[in-house]
Amino acid sequence: MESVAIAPTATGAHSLEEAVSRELSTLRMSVPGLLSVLVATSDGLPLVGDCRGTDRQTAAAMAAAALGLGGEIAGRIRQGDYCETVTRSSDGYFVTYRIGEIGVLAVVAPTGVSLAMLHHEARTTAARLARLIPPAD
Amino acid sequence: MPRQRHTTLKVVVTGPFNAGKTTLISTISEIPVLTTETSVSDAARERKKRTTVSMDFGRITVAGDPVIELAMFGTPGQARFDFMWNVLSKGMLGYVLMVDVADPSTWAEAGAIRDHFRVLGRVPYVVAANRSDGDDAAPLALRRTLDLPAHVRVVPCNVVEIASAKDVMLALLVDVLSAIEARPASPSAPTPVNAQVG
Repeated sequence: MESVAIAPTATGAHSLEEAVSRELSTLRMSVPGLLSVLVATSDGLPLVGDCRGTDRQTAAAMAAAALGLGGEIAGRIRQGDYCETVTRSSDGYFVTYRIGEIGVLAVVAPTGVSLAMLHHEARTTAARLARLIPPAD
Repeated sequence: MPRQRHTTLKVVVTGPFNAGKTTLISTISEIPVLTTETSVSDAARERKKRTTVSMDFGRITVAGDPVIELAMFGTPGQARFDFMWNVLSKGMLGYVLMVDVADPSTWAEAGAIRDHFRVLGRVPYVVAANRSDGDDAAPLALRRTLDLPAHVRVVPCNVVEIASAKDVMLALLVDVLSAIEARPASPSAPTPVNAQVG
């Protein structure tokens, strides 16, 4: 059973990290103005990327908390699988998208960004990442 | 016949990774527990396969007048989730510090969590010495390591057992009720939610 964590020393891990980074770059190009993008495991460890305003460890943990609680809410009210959480604040957005069964994509965006466009592109990115990253179990 | 009075008390269950927090709540909750457990992906996986990333929530009712409903909020144990400690501790009237007495390597972490919580709220807490298995020496050593004041109780327990888990919660409840009675009425202090149910 392989861990999701991408260690630079592990065989072939560099290529996976690079592949994830490429997906994040594509997302950034598709939606101009994004402030940060971060991929984390569902138990809150950062894989690739960072988060403006806080350290990446805390950002990864917060994204996983949103994912975990959102998933529980979706299940309890019988609305199927969790997809995303939008935290809209006076000065911007922190949006978390589920990456299959293995993790979460967190995006920090300013108020001016088109949320519809972000959703359209980031959902595609999350789906592609889900196929890219091997599951923990 | 007069309607029964209900009071809801919010308590928090905290402690280090793998101490037994989710188990305590799951063992005694009378409602299906809301849990946010997810697979562990790093080295900690060798100690435990799943961990809480956001919160647990369960409830237990204690008969009496008023009927007391204990709303139990479980925290994540890993330090990177400490922002959830701040969120979940809001309005708490007491907390359980859950510690694995069979694993002294986690005791320093338990002390750090207790120090964090002491700042969050001046409320009573009990130390649940989990996985005691009749060992009297370990709970004493734990008390010394945490440098606990005499009034803070250490409750030896094994929270996979219902009776044992209830012992922990009742010990906390007694201390919480004493603290509420002893406290002068103050608008700023957290007070029980007087939910006149029904």
